[in-house]
Amino acid sequence: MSSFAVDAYEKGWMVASGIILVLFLLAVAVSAFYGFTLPGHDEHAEAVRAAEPGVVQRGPGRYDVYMRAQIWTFVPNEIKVPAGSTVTFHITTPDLQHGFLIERTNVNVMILPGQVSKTTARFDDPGEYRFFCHEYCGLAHHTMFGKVIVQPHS
Amino acid sequence: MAENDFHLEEKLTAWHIGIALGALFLGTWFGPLQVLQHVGIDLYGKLAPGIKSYYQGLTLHGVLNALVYTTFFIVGFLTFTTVHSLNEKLRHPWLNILGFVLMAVGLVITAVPLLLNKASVLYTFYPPLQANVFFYIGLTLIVVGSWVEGFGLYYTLARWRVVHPGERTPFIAFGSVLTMVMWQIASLGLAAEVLVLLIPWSLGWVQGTDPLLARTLFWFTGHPIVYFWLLPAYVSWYGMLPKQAGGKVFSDPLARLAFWLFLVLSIPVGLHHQFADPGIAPTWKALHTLLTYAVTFPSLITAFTVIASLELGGRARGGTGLFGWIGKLPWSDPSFSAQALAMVTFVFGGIGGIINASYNVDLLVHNTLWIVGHFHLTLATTVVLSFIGISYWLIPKLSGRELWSVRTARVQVWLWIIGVVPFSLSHHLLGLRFAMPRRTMLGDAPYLSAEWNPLLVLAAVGGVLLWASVLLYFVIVLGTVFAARKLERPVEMPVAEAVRSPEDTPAWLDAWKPWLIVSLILIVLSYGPPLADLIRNANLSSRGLQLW
Amino acid sequence: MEEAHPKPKGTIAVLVIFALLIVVLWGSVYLTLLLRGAAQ
Repeated sequence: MSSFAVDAYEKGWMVASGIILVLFLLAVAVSAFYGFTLPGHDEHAEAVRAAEPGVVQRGPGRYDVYMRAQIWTFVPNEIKVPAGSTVTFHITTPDLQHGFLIERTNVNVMILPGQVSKTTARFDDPGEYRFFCHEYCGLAHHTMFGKVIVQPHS
Repeated sequence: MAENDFHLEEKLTAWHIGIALGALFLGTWFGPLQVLQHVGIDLYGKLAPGIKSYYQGLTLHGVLNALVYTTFFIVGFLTFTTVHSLNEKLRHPWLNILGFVLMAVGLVITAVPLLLNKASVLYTFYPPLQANVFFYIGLTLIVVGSWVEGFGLYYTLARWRVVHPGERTPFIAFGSVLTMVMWQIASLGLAAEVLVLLIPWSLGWVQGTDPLLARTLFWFTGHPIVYFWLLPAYVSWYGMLPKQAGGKVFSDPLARLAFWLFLVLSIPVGLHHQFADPGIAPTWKALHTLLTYAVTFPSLITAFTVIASLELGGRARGGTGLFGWIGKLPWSDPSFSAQALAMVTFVFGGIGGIINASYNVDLLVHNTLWIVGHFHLTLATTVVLSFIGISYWLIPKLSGRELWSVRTARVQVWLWIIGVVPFSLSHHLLGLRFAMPRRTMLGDAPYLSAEWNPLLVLAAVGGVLLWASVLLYFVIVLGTVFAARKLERPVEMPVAEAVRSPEDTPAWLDAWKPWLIVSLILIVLSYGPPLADLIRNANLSSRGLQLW
Repeated sequence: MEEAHPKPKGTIAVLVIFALLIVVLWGSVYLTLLLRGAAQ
């Protein structure tokens, strides 16, 4: 096995860019550890499938939303919660692929037949947060949207 | 060296490129249509009854540009580069011709349902949206045809190695064949999806399918396909452009190492397209994040090596100081300017790519217009503009005519950049700041916001300018092939010399087996468990839907 | 035989700009992630 000479500047670049990438990965890992998780599998898939679509309060400021994404609407498509709420969405679809993306949040998840999607967001600021279907699901895909209405504390 | 007659090979290349350009011409028309529709200018009525919907147009846009133009151009180009670099005629020309015929027949077969609005499933064709069976059959033939042509190139290289024992494979041929090998392995996921799941299902032999399994198999191929697109541009940037710039390849061993790393790291990363998918454990998504970061490395090596190679040229042409050499490069040569600007664009495309690959950071941008902005920097510009730059010497070479005209070509290249910059910038912002979804007929969306208008207008202007550049390109191509003067002197494929002779490059950078083994091991480790899990739990219950 | 060729200073200069760009752009998107709040 023989090696080859690498220009010192090139070596320096490889090390520097490697360090930058490692720092990025560490930043990502730390954030994932502190709650910035990817959406994933819903461990209570059976219960979700059996649930009626709707909003269920679990405690002060904690809500579960059981949602169906179907051609071409979200059920429910309007969710009202008070500011400061943590909302967990459990989403299924009876027909085909959809997407679920809530503006101004980190909620971004695919909905697939045969799967149950789960994602959580905390809504601190009052206002309207629209959500969109972002995966092509047929001719009226662009009409598929809804909103989370976060009400100020009275 | 005896001059080989590459008449057959060049004719084959010309046929590939001709079909590729036809596809690009048709596919790009939908670009301005889409971007104008988003600002309320709906021109789709003018295409009726030929094109039935925005989404049919979008399917054609993706399939023609990202699948047909790319595959045909690349296979044709790499056939040309391999035989010329080795100075070796095709070992079994019938094999390459067979492959081309399969590709061409496949194209016709898939085109029919596409044009008849029976396959408006977008270029990712996720089930349970179900296209007409011939859509899948046609695509299968295109892929299989590309494999067959790949084999034609492998046999040719094998013969060269027998005749030249112990010599280093010429770099251009090495990079070209590696690209085809990588594509061969990468396309197995797509092949499995289409042959095992989609075709039986669309024929009605199987009632239902499993959308998540299908998606996972698709993206097994869906990520490395971008390297199938990118590596031929890298072959030119490393192996040809330095010659065009008056420089030399800064490091032959590092150039080869970059390509080997692509063979090993292009494929075991596809889950980064599925970060937002349910049903796949975060552990595997995290592993693919790590591997995706690893595959940025050969591109970072490329950045240094290619820029340093060009710097040698700039300084040889009289450039001094830290940046003076840049101005001394042959910017008046549109083949050079196209590829150099493609490189600059890739800086931003690559940074966007690292952002997309960063696990949870992807949640900010997944399936938004940011992604559209991203791939118009990477595929549409880095790759396609490079291919355009290559064609500015290749089409004269193949047609025997001068480029018509160098001046127009210079304008065409800069017009591309003037178009893609506002187009891409606005799309990145619309996605990141406003969560605007992609693959969506936005002009008709009830949720369209007035605050999105300025950026949408910017996007429309950029998109129309980009399309104008494409039209100009076709004027140049047609002018060259049909009206230009015959070449006085034949055009030669530019071949860059390396600073140190490739014979000094160690043998392990010219040996296929160890790298192939590592590549396969990584694929098994990164995809084995998640795929096994999906197959074990496969639920073939989703029935086909035609919702367009 | 090692050919004498100038050190690629221009390349390093260009890549320093690239590195700065990547840190700034990646960092700003990462910050956006953090500012939009954790799931919990």
